[in-house]
Amino acid sequence: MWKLASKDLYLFFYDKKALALTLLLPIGLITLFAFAFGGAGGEKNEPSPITLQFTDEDQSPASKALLASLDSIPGIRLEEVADQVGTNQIKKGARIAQLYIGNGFDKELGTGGALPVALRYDQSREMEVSILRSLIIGRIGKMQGSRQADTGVDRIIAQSFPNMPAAMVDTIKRQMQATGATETHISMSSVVGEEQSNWGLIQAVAGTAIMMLLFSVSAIGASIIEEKEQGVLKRLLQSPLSPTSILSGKLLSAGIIAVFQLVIMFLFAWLAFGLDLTINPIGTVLMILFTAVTCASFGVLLASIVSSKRQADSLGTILVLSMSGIGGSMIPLYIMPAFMQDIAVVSVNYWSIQGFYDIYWRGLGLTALWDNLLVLLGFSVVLLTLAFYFFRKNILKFD
Amino acid sequence: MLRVNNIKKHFQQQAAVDGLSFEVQPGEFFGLLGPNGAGKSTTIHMISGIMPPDDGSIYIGSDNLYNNTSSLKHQMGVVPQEIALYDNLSALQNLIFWGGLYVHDAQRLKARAEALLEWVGLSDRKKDLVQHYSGGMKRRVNIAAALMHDPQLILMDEPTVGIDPQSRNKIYEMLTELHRQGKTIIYTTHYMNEAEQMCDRIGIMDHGKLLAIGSLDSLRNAHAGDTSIAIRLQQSILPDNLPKNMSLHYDTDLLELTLTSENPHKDLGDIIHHLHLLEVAIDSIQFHRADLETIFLNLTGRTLRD
Repeated sequence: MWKLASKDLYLFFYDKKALALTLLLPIGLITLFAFAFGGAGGEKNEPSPITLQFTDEDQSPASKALLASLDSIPGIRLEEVADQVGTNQIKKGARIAQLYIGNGFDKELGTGGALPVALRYDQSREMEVSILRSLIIGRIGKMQGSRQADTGVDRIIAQSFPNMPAAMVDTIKRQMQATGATETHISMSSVVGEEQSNWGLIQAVAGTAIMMLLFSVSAIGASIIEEKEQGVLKRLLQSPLSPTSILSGKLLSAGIIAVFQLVIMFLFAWLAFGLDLTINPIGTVLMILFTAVTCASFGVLLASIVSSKRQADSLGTILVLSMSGIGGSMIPLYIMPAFMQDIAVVSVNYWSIQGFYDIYWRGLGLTALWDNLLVLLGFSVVLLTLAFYFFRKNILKFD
Repeated sequence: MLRVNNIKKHFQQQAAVDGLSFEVQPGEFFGLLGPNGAGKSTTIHMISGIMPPDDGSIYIGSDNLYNNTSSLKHQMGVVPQEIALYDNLSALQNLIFWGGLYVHDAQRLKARAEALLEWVGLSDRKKDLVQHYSGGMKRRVNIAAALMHDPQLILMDEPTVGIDPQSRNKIYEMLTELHRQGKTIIYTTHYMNEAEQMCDRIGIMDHGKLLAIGSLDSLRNAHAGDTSIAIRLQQSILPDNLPKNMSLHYDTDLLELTLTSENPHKDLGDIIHHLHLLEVAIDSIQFHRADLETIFLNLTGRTLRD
């Protein structure tokens, strides 16, 4: 029994690189999730501030006071925008919400009538929007209560207690202001995804599809290592095929399989969950193609930098889970700390998921996708350049 | 057909092949014999165009291999030491795939694959996945895959390793047939009998160097050393009565005299005359010709299996 165990232990510890990668996997995941869920960094790990756009058409002391009050909240950063610009920023996914303060805000504050205030937002950022809504309503409610206390107390005392001392009147006002808020209503409107019933579906489909695709192409890439171990790669090289042709062939097969896999996943989402694939078919096709090529490039690079199947499996799992975690496949980005959101751009997943969000959630046209497509193309070029370099350097060694 | 000029290959400052030179004529069956680690496979890798030598040159005909690798690879078929086939494809699919790297006519490929499978005796199993084949069957398909484009030069790197004697004999028959067809074959092995049985000429390698090269007879003449003759007697003889001027060993149990001589015919005549004078009858006489094992032993001081 010990002989069997010692043999297995010897084999386990023999490939030092594979061993290191095996241990790095759980360590990497623990680190990733610790940062993602805010469990790392202690007191220094401040939540990222929410940027609230505002458009103040009232330009009154009351509107300015409201904005100053909101600006004093540490978790909120105010940004002044023109009305339509703010709405477009939300539609493009660049901002979460916009507070619109219309003419007459100051005047209506004391009357108890409908306030010309609207919060426009991206429904997919439900959590942040709820926080903003509570804070805005709380601040306006307090201002409303204060204004109503002032005007209401003055009127009643003037009518019924004309001789009440001024000091007593002030005390009554302060007590009424302190009880504060009256019931306040503001207009709420989502400016993106109006036609979508479930933004979570897009997150689930795009996030999962890309993560699983990366696993698939990693396996295809690892087949190069298997072929080397079996002697098949050597035989391919002994044929008139050039090393470039061999790697290109692998890239082509990985790319076709990746396209096939993405198409099947999106078709499933359409049939099973009603994802509307007709929103931007050309954009969808382009995003699928560019995502597939980028993921396939990742697969062949992976195979080019490892020297054993076990290393390919371990490193592939680490990289795919890390990219998926950072890039928003596993956890929606907006719930991650600010610095995690900043580093998400290094992940293929991020650009693909955001592209699919632009199509299916924000309903944007082709021009809005260029950034995502260009970045994915850039990723592919870099990954492939490295893959061809390392393929020649590492894989073509025979001894 | 093939000219190898002083090729060298080092791995981490250790010489795997160290100044190897030889020529192979068209239609010749040339064997590279040596123990594991002698540098045979590295030599095949260099000749097959996947591993440029650190120094020296290789010519196929009049063309330098590494100046025109892709084109010259069409003239070669390589049978690797590993069974380099796709396990989850059938034998027919494997042959069509490997042949397709050289030939693009689908009909021609299929016909050639069918013919080769018939030739290697696997036409009735051609649609079975290779993973279900025995080791010997896989070896035969491995050879057939290298012949799909009908190359003139065939490089075989220990193609019979790890298979049963029956399959090995079948492969010997196939190789003999290829030789008869006029193919030029370079064959590495550490089995002496293979080299003795099939090769026109043999190069003996050890530690990356070519120790000797020639036909079996010429190697024997040059490196076999003294011939050994066993003389079985019908009755015992007193050792003191044996001639003192010869290298003789007497086995009293077997009643056998072993004579080692540089001049076996003269010394045998003398010993027969001597025994006749002693009235000792001879039961049998056997000449032991030196084999490649002995030649290798004489060249290196160790056996092929060491």
